[in-house]
Amino acid sequence: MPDLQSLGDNLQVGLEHYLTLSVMLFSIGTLGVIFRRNVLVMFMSVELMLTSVNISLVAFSRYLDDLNGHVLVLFVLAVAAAEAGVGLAILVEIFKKRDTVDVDEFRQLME
Amino acid sequence: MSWSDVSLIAPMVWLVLGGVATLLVDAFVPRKGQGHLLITSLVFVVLALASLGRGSDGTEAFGGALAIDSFANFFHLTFLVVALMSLAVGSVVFAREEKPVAEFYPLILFSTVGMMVMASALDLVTLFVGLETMSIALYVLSASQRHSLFSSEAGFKYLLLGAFSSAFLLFGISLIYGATQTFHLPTIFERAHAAGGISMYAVYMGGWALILVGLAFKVALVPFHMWTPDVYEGAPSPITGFMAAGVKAASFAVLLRVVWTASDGFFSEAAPLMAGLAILTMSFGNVVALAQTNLKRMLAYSAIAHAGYIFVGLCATSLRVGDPAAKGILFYLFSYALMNVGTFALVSLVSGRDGERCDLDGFRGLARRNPLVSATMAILLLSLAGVPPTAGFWGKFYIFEAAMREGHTTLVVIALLNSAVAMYYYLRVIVVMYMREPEGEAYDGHSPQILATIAAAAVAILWIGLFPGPVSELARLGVTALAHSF
Repeated sequence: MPDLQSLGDNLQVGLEHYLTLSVMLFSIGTLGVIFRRNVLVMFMSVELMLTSVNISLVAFSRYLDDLNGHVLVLFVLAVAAAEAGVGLAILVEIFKKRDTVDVDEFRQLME
Repeated sequence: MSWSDVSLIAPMVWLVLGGVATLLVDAFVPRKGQGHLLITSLVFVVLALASLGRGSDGTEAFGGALAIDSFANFFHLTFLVVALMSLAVGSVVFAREEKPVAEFYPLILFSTVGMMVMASALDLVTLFVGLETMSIALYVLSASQRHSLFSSEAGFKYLLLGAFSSAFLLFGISLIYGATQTFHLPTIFERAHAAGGISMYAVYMGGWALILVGLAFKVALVPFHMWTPDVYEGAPSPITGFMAAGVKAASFAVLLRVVWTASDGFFSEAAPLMAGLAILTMSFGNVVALAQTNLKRMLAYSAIAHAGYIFVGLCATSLRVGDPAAKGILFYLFSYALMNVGTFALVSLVSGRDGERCDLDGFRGLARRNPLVSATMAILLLSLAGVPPTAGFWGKFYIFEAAMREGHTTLVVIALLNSAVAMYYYLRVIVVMYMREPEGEAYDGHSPQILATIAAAAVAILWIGLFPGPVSELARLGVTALAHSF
């Protein structure tokens, strides 16, 4: 029977794992903004990108044993919340006039 | 934090107080019209102007978060002038709305504070906070014409791509932090130049590349420009002038400071890439602008082209004390701010309430109807095109001459060819104003605030064009300060 204790000791989650996760989430978010057409999903993708930055910041901060990274994370969270507030307010305004959240319909400006 | 720190950032403090004061005045002083709001906000901008110029070169406030030196002061002056003009013009445009938008005044003030923080930022966290303070206020301002779907869509597009670009910037900041264990620009420089260099070199370089991408979105360099025409066209004209001038100046201030204080290694290795960006930006902006019939859209593409010219200066920065290319950039940004805000003020004067006459046809025969307004428009356009004796000419001259001396001959030749192409679409507007018969309804714009603003802009442009000395000297002092910050 395998020794669970020693198995756990060998499974070290290091900086590179956190960074890989962060880069993957960032890429998924980028692709989401580029390829999805529903503005709400695009908006969520941007939030995903910001969250992935937070993961990398916290990982670096822990690894470097330095508190400054955590401080920036708090700023990022606050800014993301403010952006979401403004973005959803504008979206409601558009939705009242147009009844759609498909970005391809946002063509008023593109003729 | 101490009181001396607070007194160093007095101009920003005045603007924040002004923003809060206008909000309170709007809530508690019930009056028709918005004259009292305009006066309140103007008073605080003037107070901020009066408290400019504190600190000497090398002064750091708040433990190295902000630098209050001549470089920052030069940009603070630029932003305050832009804010002053935009407030005067916007007060007219927003008073025409059915439901007047009183939030315009505080938002302009808060956004200006964000720009000032960016120009002073000596720390990547401060830079991010300044950038977002500026941007979030601008998203709301772009969407602030509530009866117009154009405006809402412009606001949303700006927000989505703005947030997208700040994610890139942030990821870059995070990588730099991981590689150097600090956000403080001069410390980053020290660690990068310490013996042995940086262990995670790829991470460090990748970080700067991502920061460059994030800022390239803000100044609308070409592969990252898609939002610009739509947003500039859809946003209310005074706001377009404000953001085209202000955001560009703030982002280039950050780029200059970053290049000088922290990342010389990255930018010297990326020199070919940067030259490519500059060429692409200038050429694309000018060629597409040729085909536009809507004046605001044309000016949007011309704004892209101007970002390209300024970027030529950034490619040629030599990192020596009193570098002429960097001086050219500062001069260019100041004069560009004047002409750009002036031009958009004129567009909002002529184009009517909903901007329905933004087409070139709206300017047909303007010289017959109003010779004075069309004469100022001609001066502003000639300055944008870079014809002597206007401020725009000297901006281009300083940058191109410095780039020439640094040996970027190809870049300068392409920039000059581009200026020649640009001449065509600027002159076309002048031809339409002077050589076509007026048709349609007469334009109804008679507003003392807008007329005073554009007259002041035109006079300033001619004055700086004839006597470029003082502004050029201020710009030179600003660049000298950059060398002190490490």
